[in-house]
Amino acid sequence: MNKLIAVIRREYLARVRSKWFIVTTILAPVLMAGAMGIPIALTLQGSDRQMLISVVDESGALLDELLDTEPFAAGRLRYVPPPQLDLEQALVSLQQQVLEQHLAGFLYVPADAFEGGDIEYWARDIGPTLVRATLEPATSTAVRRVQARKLGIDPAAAEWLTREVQLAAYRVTEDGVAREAGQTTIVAHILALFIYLVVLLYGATMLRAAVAEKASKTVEIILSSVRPWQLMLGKILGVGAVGLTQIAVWVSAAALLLVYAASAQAFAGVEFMRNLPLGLDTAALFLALFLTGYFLYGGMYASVGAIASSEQEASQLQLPVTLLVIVPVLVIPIVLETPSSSTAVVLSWIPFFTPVLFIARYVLGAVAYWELPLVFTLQLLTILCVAWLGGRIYRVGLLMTGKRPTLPELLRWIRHG
Amino acid sequence: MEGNLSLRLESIHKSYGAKVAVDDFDLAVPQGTICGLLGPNGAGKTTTIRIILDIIGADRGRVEVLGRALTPAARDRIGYLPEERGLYPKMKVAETLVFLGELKGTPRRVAAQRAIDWLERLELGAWATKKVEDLSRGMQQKVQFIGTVLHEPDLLILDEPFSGLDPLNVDILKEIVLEQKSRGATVLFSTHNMDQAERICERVVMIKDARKVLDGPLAEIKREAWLAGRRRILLEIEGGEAVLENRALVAGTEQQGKCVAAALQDGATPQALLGALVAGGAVVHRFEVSEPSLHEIFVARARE
Repeated sequence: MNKLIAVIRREYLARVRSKWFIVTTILAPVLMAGAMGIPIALTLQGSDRQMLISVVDESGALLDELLDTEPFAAGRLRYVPPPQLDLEQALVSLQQQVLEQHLAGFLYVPADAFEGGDIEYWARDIGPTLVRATLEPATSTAVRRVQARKLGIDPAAAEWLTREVQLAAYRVTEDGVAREAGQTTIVAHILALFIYLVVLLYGATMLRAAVAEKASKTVEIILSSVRPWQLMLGKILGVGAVGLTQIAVWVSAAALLLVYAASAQAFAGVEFMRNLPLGLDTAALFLALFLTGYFLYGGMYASVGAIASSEQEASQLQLPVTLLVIVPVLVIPIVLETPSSSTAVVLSWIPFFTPVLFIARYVLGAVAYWELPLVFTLQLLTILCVAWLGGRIYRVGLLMTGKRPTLPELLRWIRHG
Repeated sequence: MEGNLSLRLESIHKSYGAKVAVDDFDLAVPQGTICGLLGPNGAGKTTTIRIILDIIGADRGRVEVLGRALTPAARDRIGYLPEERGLYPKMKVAETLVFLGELKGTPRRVAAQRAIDWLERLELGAWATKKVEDLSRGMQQKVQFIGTVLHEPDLLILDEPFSGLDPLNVDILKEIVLEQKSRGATVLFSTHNMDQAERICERVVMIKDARKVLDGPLAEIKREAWLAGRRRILLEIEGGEAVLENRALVAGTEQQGKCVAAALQDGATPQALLGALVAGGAVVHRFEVSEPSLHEIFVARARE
């Protein structure tokens, strides 16, 4: 027991004192904030800027209505008249202006625009915010008004008739609490990505830790004093403790920020933050899933580390394990869209995907309570399997240097280890 | 067997696939002796040591350490210096030693105190809080040696302990080994440097091709080899040439620098030769019964 503690302490201190720890502790939240904040900031900034749009209107009827629509009236889009040339030359000239960035883009309205002809938008950047959120609705409105007039209907009545309906979505959960859907999905996504991130981060750390004995040639001296399983367990617990420390630092920093924000009303997102579906139950589940995920992948990364004889080799060998971590991130859209579908449910039960996908389903309120014991039993069983297999690979692998084992050799290690 | 046995191996066998690494190996090392484990590279020395330390398991056979079966507690009484040296490069020197001590069950505070004492003694005191990677190779080797003896083991297993060290440090470490012996520790000393083995070991065991080919007290082995092989006398004499021609005493001679090496005839004794030389009026400056060196015995056995 004392030996195990000695191994854990060494592993923990070696990691926590390293530059790596300090850098990732500071950098990870910055990167996370950057990854989420930059697109938002860009969108906000983009909406502030006035965009110059030209319109070549061959139908002769649309332009006036278009300039009456909200984006042009509010000044987010500004109309630039096209050059007074014949059509061909005007289009060439406009394209040149787009290339030279004098124009954000231009609309081409063909003469048959009201008989089913396509209205075209030409630009360098065809981002969804601009096209779908601004230009498209504005053009639709304008077209509708022109057509209403042709039919002799009051344009206002036409707009009333063709109102787009937006559903206010409420999620029904077992708690009976209805929550606003968009927010919940974002939180589910963030928590799932966070689990993915930390499992990957500490998995990679575990990999380096497992190679350390071979790389520094301390294997024999260590193994003459402790059992391989003690070494492996000590390492997994030590690195896991590093992970918990780091998460604790992040969470306290985030909590301080929230408290500050809530008291000072420092930013507009406070209401949003307050309404987050983040209870203690979610926090507990998050922690539990981080731990099972970490043990699961930590064990696998440790085995990979034991097969390799240097860090470089280890980083080549880790690919299969890393792919397994990435899969749930690829399928997470399915889970976010339809968390109660049988596909999502089954995917979230697969032990290797559970940590990432199950937290998402839980936040979305799509988890039945009987699933909890089932999922955690599966997690524990898989962890035991991985530990058993990994322990055998680790034991033989530790003393092997030089040649990398082939698959049949690996199977022999497992059989005879 | 004399006294208690510190180490006893009984029909140890280990093979990797078709390759036999250790074949039916017996070993008995009495307490308080320094026993050399000799053999060419790849003979099975390291495998044997790993089996003694339970780093790998034998296919069959029995290991007894300090009179007990090989339990984790018994393992804690062993100090091991592997041939392949290595310490965690980023760890501080004193912390490394405390860690190694803890792994052998020494309480932290005791280990910390002993680490400081040892570092002072080996003139590494100023390096205690430096990282291992900042030390020279020789210094690292000394640190590792301290790690081997820090928990005051009853059995020391040293695999090529002096390789790569300068003569000054070899002497320092040798002194420590002898000191450990006088403390009552038993030392199993694996090497293929015969000069070192000859100088430090009381017993030697030699392995060749996974089998034991030689085992016993060094003096006895040498005497047997002397009796079995060409028995030679190194001479520095004036006169007495006629005696060396006496084929009843001398089988042949060979000039070796200013000495003459005389091979004794079967049945002749060194005393008879000396008596004949003195009686023949030769002035004897040197008369040395030349034992075969361990090196010669080793080479002869290894070639067999």
